Amino acid sequence: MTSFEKFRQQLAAGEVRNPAQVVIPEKAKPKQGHRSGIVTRAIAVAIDISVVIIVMLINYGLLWLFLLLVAPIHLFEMPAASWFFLAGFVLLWAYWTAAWALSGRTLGNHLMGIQVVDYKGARLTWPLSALRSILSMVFPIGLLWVVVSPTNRSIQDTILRTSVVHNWSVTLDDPFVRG
Amino acid sequence: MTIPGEEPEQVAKQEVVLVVNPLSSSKMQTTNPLIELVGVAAGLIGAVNSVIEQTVVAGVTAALDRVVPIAVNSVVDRMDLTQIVLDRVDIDAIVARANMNEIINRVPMIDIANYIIDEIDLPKIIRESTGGIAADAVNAARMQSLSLDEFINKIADSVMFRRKGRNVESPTNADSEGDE
Repeated sequence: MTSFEKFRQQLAAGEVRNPAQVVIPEKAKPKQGHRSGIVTRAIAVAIDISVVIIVMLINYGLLWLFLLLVAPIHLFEMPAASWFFLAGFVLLWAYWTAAWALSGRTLGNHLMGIQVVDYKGARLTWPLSALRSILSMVFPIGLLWVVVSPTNRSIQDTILRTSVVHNWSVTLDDPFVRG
Repeated sequence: MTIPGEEPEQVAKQEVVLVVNPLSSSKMQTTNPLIELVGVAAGLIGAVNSVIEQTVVAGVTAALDRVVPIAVNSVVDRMDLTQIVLDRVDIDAIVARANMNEIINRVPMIDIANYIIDEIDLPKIIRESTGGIAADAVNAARMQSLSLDEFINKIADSVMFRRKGRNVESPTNADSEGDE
């Protein structure tokens, strides 16, 4: 098994082919680095939210099981659904913040081959990432501005000068790796 | 080194001499002294002959032992044996007659198979091919959404009478006015 460290060394030495050259279809190569449109981004967001919902459902089940086993029967009561709603929000916020600050990609972003970058095309800083995350959650409709924007930007992107670009493969050229 | 065909002939000659001697001396009992003399002479000649023969044969054999290897070697050196074999020997026929089962029984097949699997890194090939299938599926989905994006963008641009289209270039390449 090749470790990531070893793979990077081999890639730097030219011993293995750059996956970016292998994986990306010819038709999509000119689109790399372009700002992504509404459909791709909406699907990515949907995937992210689905992930969070699944995690919250699992948490709900685990908590129910835990209380059933541990708590006295006359005290057994599940928290109100709004608590889970709130917890889901916090989780999504933390998830988006960490993902964008660490790699520029959430799971949905990764599957759709897009990446969040700042105005220099570099990885988002933690405060910027947290801000973008909270703005995206309190004003999700802002995503629709992508259709209108002349630069494929949502309201949040326009405010924070960020972009969501196509980058279909994780390579050495990633801001994450470079930084 | 002796040529294998020569030795049996020498042995045969010596045996003949040994048979002749007793015949001439003991078995033929004649009273004629002349015939006896001839017999003795013949025996003598035979003995001398055998001695000479033995000496000559030994000498010739020794000489041949020395000369033949040198001569054969020098002859062989001057010939392309491989080419001669290729020209004159039907190798296919020999291979066809060879007992392949015997040969294969002596070959460690499992060891060779393990060695080959180690060398070609079979798990890597499996990993790459399955990874390739997954990547194809993901890429197909991405292409679909990309073309949908472009379709929607085109409609939106035409609705807004935006003739130039959009600036979707990467933020690293010339993106000064794109920040709005």
